[in-house]
Amino acid sequence: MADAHPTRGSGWRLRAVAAFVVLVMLCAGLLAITASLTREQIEHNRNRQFLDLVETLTGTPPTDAIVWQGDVAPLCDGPGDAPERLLLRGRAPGYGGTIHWLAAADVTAANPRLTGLRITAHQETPGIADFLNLPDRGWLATLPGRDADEVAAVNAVSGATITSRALRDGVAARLGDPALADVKCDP
Amino acid sequence: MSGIIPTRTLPTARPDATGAPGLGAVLQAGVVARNPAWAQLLGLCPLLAVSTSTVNALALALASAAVLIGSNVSISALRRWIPDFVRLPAFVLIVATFTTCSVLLLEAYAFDIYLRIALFVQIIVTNCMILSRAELFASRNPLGRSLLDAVGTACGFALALLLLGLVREALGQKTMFAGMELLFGPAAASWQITLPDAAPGLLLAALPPGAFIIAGLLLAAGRAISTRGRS
Repeated sequence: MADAHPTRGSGWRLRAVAAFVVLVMLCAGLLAITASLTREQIEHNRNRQFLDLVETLTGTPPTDAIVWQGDVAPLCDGPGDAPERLLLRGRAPGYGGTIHWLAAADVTAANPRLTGLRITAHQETPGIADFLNLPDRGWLATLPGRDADEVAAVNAVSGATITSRALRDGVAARLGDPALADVKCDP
Repeated sequence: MSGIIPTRTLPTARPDATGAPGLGAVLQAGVVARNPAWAQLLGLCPLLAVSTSTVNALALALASAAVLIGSNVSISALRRWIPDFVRLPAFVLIVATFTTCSVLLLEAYAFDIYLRIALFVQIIVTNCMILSRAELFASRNPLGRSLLDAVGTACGFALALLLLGLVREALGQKTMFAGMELLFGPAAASWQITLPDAAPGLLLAALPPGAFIIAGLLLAAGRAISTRGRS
């Protein structure tokens, strides 16, 4: 009774759902084929972009494979070396969502110092948090060269207090982590 | 061929003798009379946002064309199997599939241009131009006519994008066809034309307000030409 329709007869809902499911499967198949054909090239492109970013942060192209040990990766010239620079990555709770950042730190001194910082993804308000997209000028450009205590002492950005404070505190906490001193290149 | 569910009468392509537009007219209508951007003012969000340079405009035009042609052809081919009851979700599903495929292909084979315009390629799925051609034409016409309609509409959208991109790039950056190597390989770097440096570039042309102003001026010029042509 519930399946009857004055002009379509019985079972039309079931046939409509069946047709839609077949269509979904066709679309999923097309997507799967495209994804499998492009996966390798996309991985290559993303890896190239990451290496370019590392070069921008450190000033030199990485000579060895970058191996993450948690959220820290030593930049090594060979196995067993004590790294002079570290890559750090982290997430900070911003105003509109998580802010993902990547930084390089010089660990030759007693207190690690930030040498570069880039925001790799964020969902902050456009217009207000545009400074996140401008690493070479504005607020972000004031952070490199500082150690953890100096980063923590930087004033937040007026109008984007939650965003800048979250990023500042996240970077400062990571720089001040005593475990950074124990990071070694892979033997 | 009988469909799973006989739900609606599908109009078939009428012969030219009855007054219906022929295949050439279908193609021409998409480019000129029914140009999605200049005549129907559809798809203006990506049009204005991406047309800062010719190469960006061309990349979006290619991606939009791929989605439009793929979805029009698929919807036309499957129109007798798509139940009227679920036709809009089905159309959106098909358009979203081709949009995602375009995004993947762009990310794989034109990564640098993908980084510039990825957001606007992803929102092709919401472009009224594509859904309107699916609903108004592809779901009611055979494969050949739907393909021509898609090609005509895609060419019309591409013309609008390229025209706006060229004008904005020339005014704002004083170059034309800069960055074509991002799409066509290193050899295309020589396609760049640098305009004489007599006057400074007009920054406004490269900014969003300039996009509105230039698009409005181009639209007004097009209307004036077509009105003069009719009179």
